[in-house]
Amino acid sequence: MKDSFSVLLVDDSADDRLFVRRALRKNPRFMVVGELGDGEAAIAYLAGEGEFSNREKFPYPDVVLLDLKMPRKTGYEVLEWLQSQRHEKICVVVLSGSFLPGDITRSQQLGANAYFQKEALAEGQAAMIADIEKLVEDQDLTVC
Amino acid sequence: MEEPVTAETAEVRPAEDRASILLVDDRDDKCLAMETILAELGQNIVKTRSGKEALRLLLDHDFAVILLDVNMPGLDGFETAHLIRQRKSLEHTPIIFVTGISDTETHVSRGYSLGAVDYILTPVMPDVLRTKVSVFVELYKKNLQLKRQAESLRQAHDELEIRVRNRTFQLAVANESLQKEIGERQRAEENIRYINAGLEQRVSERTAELAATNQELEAFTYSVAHDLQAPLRNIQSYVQLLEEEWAPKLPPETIQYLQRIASRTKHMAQLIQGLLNLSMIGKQGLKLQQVELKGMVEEVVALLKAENPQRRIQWNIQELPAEACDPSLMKQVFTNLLCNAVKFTQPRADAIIEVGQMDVEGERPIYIRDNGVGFNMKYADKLFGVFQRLHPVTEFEGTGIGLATVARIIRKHGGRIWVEAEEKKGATFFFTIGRTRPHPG
Repeated sequence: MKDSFSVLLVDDSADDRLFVRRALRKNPRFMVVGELGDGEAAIAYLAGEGEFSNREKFPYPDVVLLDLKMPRKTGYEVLEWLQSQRHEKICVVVLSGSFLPGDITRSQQLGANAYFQKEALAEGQAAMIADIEKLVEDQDLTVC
Repeated sequence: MEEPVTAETAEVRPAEDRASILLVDDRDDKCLAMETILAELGQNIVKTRSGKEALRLLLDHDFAVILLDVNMPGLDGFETAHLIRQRKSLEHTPIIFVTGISDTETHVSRGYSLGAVDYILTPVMPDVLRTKVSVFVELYKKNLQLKRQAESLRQAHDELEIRVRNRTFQLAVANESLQKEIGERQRAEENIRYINAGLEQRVSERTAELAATNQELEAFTYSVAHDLQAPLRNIQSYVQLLEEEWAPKLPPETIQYLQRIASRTKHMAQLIQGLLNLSMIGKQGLKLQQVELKGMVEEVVALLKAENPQRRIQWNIQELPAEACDPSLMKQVFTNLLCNAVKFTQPRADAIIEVGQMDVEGERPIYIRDNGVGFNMKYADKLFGVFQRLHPVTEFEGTGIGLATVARIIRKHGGRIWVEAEEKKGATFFFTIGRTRPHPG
């Protein structure tokens, strides 16, 4: 079992990224390796294309925290792209403001491992990070 | 005995039931004798002295029989008979020649050839004359009667025909007006059908429009509420960040204000969440399941007890049925109503909240009763509207969306909700689930 997990944060809201990053910082097992503001950049990062080709600098993450509504390419498109790839083992967690059943089921159908509604307060965020930690452990990311 | 009537003065027109007999003889004594004999027959006797005069009379009178003397000056009997027979209308008028015995042979044969029907010998034998004349009188009368009968038959026939024609005409008229009426009725029916179809069309168009408007409104409510959520969430996060990390460096007053901002943003977040929930009810379909309501109520009550450890509340949960309903929505109903009951009994040291089912006018509503602050019933109809509050926020916090959500869920289940309350005494909420069912038994 891994001691720490690398996290790629994909959200067009810098505010939301800030608070998720702060919440993650409270758990030493998570390490944010990248922050991106749209789906297109996320796909480029995961594909290791262009500026992201240096895997030393931009390591392939264990976990992607993915917003749904983003410019250029949405979270759904990122999920679809991931499904089309023979990618390395990765845990995709959707983190969205929406609590519409439609958004939740569609995310799961497109292969998301979990779906969380964004939390305003630190207690809620901490609980969410704890859930994600459990989830990632259960995913057993060491086996490819 | 009647006065002998001369041709000049004769009142020829006979009474209805009397036949006219024409005596033609130039000798008054013979005439008188025959008249006397014939008077017994009781018929109308017309006498004349000459064939010429007889022909004139025959022009416009009808006679049953003519007694015609053969030997007359001027036109004799044969000549007269000849002239009579030439008239079409007199073809069948019987002529009896009156002749002396001496002339019998020549006269009789000539008479017959001229169309005589009989002859009488002079001197006249009264019985013979009477008998012969009476035969023709009878014949005439019979003929007349037959003619009259034929006439009345013809009249009856004509009348019948007229009546048939009239009747036929009336029927045709009636038929025509019936046809017209049927036509009008058909047109009216067609018109009604047309109007109905138009109405139905309009109703369904209107319904579709309303449904579309409703959907738009719901979508609008959802997207507004949703878009408001993100910045509000960030505000809440930043306030908390300031409170937690910067507190030591901030003046105490500022910290107080931050707490207020936190409390107001929390309220606003609840409002927005409430609106989102409300708009979601419209979007979601009902996922009906058989639910043991008592178990559901007990779950909600356990949660409320945990959330309000400082409160002393006596909970009376009566028997509740199992109902087909959407479990998550029905849980919202009980949560909202029981939360309200907890909230509005806050001033009571001995709060009592009861949940049960009772008979109300043929229905079996579920009720939630509290002995809280209640409200004036004149505000009852405002209670289920969005953002309607009967108490100031400073007294009882809340969003004003809860009961609107409850009402919407109940309506979506086909049930109805109502409330009975009294100021300072408490309130009872009643609701049915599904279509109103008559109470069994």
